[in-house]
Amino acid sequence: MFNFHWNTFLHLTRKIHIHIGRRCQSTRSNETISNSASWSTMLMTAGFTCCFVSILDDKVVTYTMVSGSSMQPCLNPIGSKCNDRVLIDRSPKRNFKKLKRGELVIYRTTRNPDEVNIKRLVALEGDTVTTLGYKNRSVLVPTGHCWVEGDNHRFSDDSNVVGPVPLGLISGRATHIIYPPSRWESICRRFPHSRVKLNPCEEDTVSHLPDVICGIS
Amino acid sequence: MNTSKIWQRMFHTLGAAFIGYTVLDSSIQISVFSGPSMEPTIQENDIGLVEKLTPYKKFQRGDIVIATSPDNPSIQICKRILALEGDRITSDGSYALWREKRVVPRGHVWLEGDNKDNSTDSRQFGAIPLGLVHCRLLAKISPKVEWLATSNIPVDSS
Repeated sequence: MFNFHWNTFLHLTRKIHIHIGRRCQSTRSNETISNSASWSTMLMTAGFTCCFVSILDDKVVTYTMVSGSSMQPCLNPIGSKCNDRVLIDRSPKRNFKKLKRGELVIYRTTRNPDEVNIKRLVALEGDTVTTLGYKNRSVLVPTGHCWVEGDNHRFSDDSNVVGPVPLGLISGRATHIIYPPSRWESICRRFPHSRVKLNPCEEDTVSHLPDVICGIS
Repeated sequence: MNTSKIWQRMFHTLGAAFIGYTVLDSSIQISVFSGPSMEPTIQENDIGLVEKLTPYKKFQRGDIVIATSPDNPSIQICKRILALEGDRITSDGSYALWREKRVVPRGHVWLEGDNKDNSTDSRQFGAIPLGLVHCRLLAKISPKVEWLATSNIPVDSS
């Protein structure tokens, strides 16, 4: 029984071989070579592009959709038809010194590592923050940490709830709104001057920034 | 061999190198360890094989992991996971800055070095967020090959 099947199988494969062979013979040898080369080149190009995009996405620049109301009125303002898409610059991932107060950053939350939030970076290490509803009235941000807050405090799950966030969790900063086209603009740095006392060892780089516009209060 | 063939071969080599780099960058890496905190499991200048494919929720107690230090984001630390979220930790008194019992909060892990006397770990900075943990140590490949991924931990401190 087995033999029979095996033989038919062999026979079939031989048939297929002959078939393929004939097709190859029918075309000119030059053409076949160039054809096969173009196939492998195409595959390689596809792989190359995928890898290039994934590295670009992970290390240089990417874009993401913002959902939720915690950054109103800066992102997703009331009355906008669709969620904003923002451009993310990945350079803070490599060099944490490049982070500046007042920028929007994206970071993995401390409660759930699979969740990524976008918030405003309010204070860096050494600054003293007057909190809004945290267990301590005033907090000195420890080394290697930062203080992040949403503009819309009521609906924001930020440092006022979980405390200072390690800088290592930050994976990029939002620089531009790229969609919808009507809201195409670069994101403005803002800073809550009344609530943050800067680290005395550092130069003052935030005095020229406009104050944060808070959401519904 | 004509010019186009050379170009093609060059393109293929470069492409393969690039694809290999990308795949390895997101899956398996080789790293050199320094510092005394994981002795005797890992000595100074040992070389290890680490993988980055484990999802955050799949880390287990006893895994040796590499994480970003919560004190300084440019430093990577290599420690052992002693407890996951919800576990209760009691100080063993040897290096105690605190005496009370602690519960590891949601989304956090408790990391400690194997060398309890000389290790800066969760006993100083507390439980760290899982988002800081990057990769898991699979094996030691130098000075001798040793599989480390599924080792049992001393369960005296949890």
